[in-house]
Amino acid sequence: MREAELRKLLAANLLCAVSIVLTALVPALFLDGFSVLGTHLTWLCVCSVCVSVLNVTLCLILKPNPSSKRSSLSNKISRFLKCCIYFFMSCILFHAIIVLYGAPLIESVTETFLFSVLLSTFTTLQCLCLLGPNIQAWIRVFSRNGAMSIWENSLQITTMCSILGGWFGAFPIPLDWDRPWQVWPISCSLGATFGYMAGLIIAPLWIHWNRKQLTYKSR
Amino acid sequence: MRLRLRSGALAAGCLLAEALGVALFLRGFFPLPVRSLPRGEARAEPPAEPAPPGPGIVSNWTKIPPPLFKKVVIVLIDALRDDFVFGSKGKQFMPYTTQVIEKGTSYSFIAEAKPPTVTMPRIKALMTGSIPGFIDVVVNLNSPALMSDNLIWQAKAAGKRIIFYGDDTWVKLFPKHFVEYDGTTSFFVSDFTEVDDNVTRHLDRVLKREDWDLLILHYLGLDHIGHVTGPNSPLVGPKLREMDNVLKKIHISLLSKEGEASLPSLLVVCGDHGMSETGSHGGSSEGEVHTPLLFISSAFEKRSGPLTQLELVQQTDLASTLAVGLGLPISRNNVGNIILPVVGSKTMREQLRFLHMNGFQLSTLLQENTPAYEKDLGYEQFKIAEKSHGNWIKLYLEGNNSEILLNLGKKVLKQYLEALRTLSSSLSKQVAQYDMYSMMVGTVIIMEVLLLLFLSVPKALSSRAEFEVPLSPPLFSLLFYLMCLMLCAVHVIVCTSAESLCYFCSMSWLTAVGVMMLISALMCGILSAVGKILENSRLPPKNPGACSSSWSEVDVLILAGTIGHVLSLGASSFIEEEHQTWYFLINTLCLALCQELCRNHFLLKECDLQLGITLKQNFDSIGEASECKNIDVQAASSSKLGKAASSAESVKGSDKWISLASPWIILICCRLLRSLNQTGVQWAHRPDFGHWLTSSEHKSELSVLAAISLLMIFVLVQRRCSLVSKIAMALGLLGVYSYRAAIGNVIFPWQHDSKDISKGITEARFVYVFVLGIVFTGTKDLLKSQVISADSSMKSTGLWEVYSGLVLLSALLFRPHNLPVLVFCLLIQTMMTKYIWRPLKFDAAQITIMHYWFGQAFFYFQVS
Ligand SMILES: [Zn+2]
Ligand SMILES: [Zn+2]
Repeated sequence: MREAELRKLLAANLLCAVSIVLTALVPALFLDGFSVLGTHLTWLCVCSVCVSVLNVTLCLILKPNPSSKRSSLSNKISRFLKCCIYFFMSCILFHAIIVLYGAPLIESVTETFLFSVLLSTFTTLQCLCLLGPNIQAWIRVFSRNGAMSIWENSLQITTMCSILGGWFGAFPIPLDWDRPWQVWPISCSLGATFGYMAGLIIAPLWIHWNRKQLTYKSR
Repeated sequence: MRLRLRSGALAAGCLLAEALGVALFLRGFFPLPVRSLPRGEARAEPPAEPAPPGPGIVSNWTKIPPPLFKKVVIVLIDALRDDFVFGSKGKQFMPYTTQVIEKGTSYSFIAEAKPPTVTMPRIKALMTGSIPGFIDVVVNLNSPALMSDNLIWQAKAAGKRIIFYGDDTWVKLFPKHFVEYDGTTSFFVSDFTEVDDNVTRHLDRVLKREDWDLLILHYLGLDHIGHVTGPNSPLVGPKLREMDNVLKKIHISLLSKEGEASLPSLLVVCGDHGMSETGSHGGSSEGEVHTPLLFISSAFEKRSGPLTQLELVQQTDLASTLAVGLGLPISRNNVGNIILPVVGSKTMREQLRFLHMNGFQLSTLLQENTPAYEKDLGYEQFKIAEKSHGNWIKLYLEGNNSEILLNLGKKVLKQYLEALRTLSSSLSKQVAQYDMYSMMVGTVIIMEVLLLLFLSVPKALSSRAEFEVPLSPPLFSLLFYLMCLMLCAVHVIVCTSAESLCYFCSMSWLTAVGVMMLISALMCGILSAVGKILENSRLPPKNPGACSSSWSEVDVLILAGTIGHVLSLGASSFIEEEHQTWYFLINTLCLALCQELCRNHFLLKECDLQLGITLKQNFDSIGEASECKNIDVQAASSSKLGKAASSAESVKGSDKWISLASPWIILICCRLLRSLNQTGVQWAHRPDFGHWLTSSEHKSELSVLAAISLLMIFVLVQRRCSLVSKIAMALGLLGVYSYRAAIGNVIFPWQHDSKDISKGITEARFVYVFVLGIVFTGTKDLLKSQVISADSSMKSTGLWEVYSGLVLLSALLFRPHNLPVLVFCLLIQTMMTKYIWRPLKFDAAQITIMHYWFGQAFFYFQVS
């Protein structure tokens, strides 16, 4: 049971990582002049859309958290709307945090907002897919020993890795190297993306490595 | 046998050893500049021409060659950057100079100044031709007379009459050297015109007279403009035009004086250093080190075409060139080369003679500073050139064909130039060379002492306050002797093999052995302490797992941030933008604190019981630790943490929400302050709120802001002071405002014309009286609480009074647009203590580090 689930997780994560790599390569066939650094904003949009679509699809196919009760259509719609609102709010929150970190308030609002959308895609969207719009569950998962399945463990790891990646990505911005990737928000979004991909790959390995110690309470 | 040391004695010993280590390290880090004997020695005779080989023929030209120029005028324009003359600015604002450069009889160069690009060391470099080391800057802060051999001294000794007008640094450096002088002080940086008018007003009179040989003018206005408004300010253009007019006046006057019979005159235009993009100087950016150097004289050939590529020379080259031009011996400490084009109009024999003199002086300097000078490439090259020079003289005296002579002479010239370049570079390198061995010995001592202190802290803080030094264990004494022997062997090997100067090697053997013994003793002490700690830790078996799980995210962040910051100081790019590091770190710290607060408030209630218990255990252990360890530190950090342990459970209701919101409020405050002052290198030119406030149109806004800030400071600080100091504080803050009004920064509502701007000395004194009064009251309360009663409330009042006195002082010293920084600093401190540190029960070490981080960030908030 556990092994099969782990294999599923690994496949899903690899698929995500590969899709991110593809977002950097495939659009160049259709759009001329497309490159991750040159037309960064376009890539940000493409990447966020791709990752979110893939995540939602995977979530629908794999059903990592078996919903116990059959819910009505209106219930489903309200859940969906709630999810949208949560996602939007998390974008705003990330935007605010980024501005507090020193991003310009009025200049380059688009860049900042798209970066926050990317961060939300890597973090909040995953939570929404897995846990639904249920803040209590979020708090449980992100407290110290709160993970109850390997999916939640993977969620913890990818979220932390993408935020840490974005955080480390901010380091080279003030330096005087005059590189093209030092322009806001390229280094940060690349950092977050690499962090996310690293998280995707690390998570199954880490769970596999620690499978003896991991005991999930409710299973 | 064991020696028991009181902690006081231990601290004193450590301090002494530490001082020794630091001194050794600094001595290695700041090597003494290349120095010749003091100039008090008899003046060395100038070298004769190299003797031609073979018997019979003797050159009898032994005297110093006669001067090339009758009069020399040096116009030094402070902070003149190369593009101010050669760039588009020069074309626009200095038309006369540009015309002379492009079509007149002149030679232009870009002179490279070595850092530190500060006026006084640069004047020394220009006049001595040597490179002052960093230690010169440290030692000669008040610029006493220049003791080493220099051009001015040589000129005076040769009976030249020197007149000087300008920056009075020269007057201090060369006292009694000038027959006439007028020094202007550069104290008031905001003075753009007066400093230069004071120089120019003498010009007409002096240029008419004939009774001088060397005229030096040092113009400060451009430097002041740079400091206040930057290199791109609209004030630079008019100033350059003014300088252009001065140069025109001097040049025309010099030309009109020149007769057919007498020697021509020379006009030298140079800058002591440039300015950076922000208008400051001192560092090594391109704008700071590149200065123009212009030689204008009718002796030179007329330039035919426009300038193509400007040649780069060293600033130190000026001294030797001028020495030759004035017919003086080259200064002993000179490391520069003669700029050949300047003497290019002379005959081949004279040119060779000049280069020989320069090379001889350089190789003498090398001999005096390097034991292995004979192996030096430059020295060998010079010897070869000298030999071919001798051959050339032989041919010359034999009266050979002029064509052959010229070609051969050019070859010798080239050899000389090559040799001179190599000699100068190897001499300059010695200044920049660190004395690695001394530095390493110093570092080892420093690290050992720090380690020893670190290991002995728990013991020194314990009740007995004693530290045991084991002396007898055979292992350690054997180790001690072995280490001593090994270190001495290393010392011998290093000192005999190193060819360069080494300070530690030049110390007496006895001292060196003493230092070695100290190092080994410290090492043994560290080893024994480590051994004892291991021994102790083995006795009660501990669970390492429990230890590691108690690290919260904030702890990890504090540790990683501190280490990361230290590491970042290794890269100059990070140092330039250090403020960004701090802003980034405190932001992250705030977010981590927010997460910690959330966990504290939500999780403790909702999550399963087990988690709550473990967390609680953690908190309890931290609380205990903070209770027993840090009584003193708490008082010193003036945080009201004393009662934290007791009131921790009573976090409820509105307090909880304020507590949760406080990191966000702090974040917003920091973000606001960040836009107040742009600092650093890359973004310093960006417009910021501070500039907007300080511009003269927004004086009323600034006044309102300053008034509100002062009021807020009063509200935040006065709470826990006694009544007397409350009143004193209020009056003092009023005094601060009226001081700012008196010097014209802010205005009173009833005051509309700001005509009568005084210096504000009375008001400043008024505030100082209150500062002293409040601090005195506080100290008195503290002493009283110590001596008479152990009353803790008295003690805290005293501390708060001292604190508020210091706040008042900083309110006086802060520039008015920076007063919000002080307000936010106090506000954040209050919030942190009340809503973050107390509910989370941080220990003193964590609080100290957070204080330090915020302190650093606030330092950069107010720097512009
Ligand atoms: Zn200067
Ligand atoms: Zn200056």
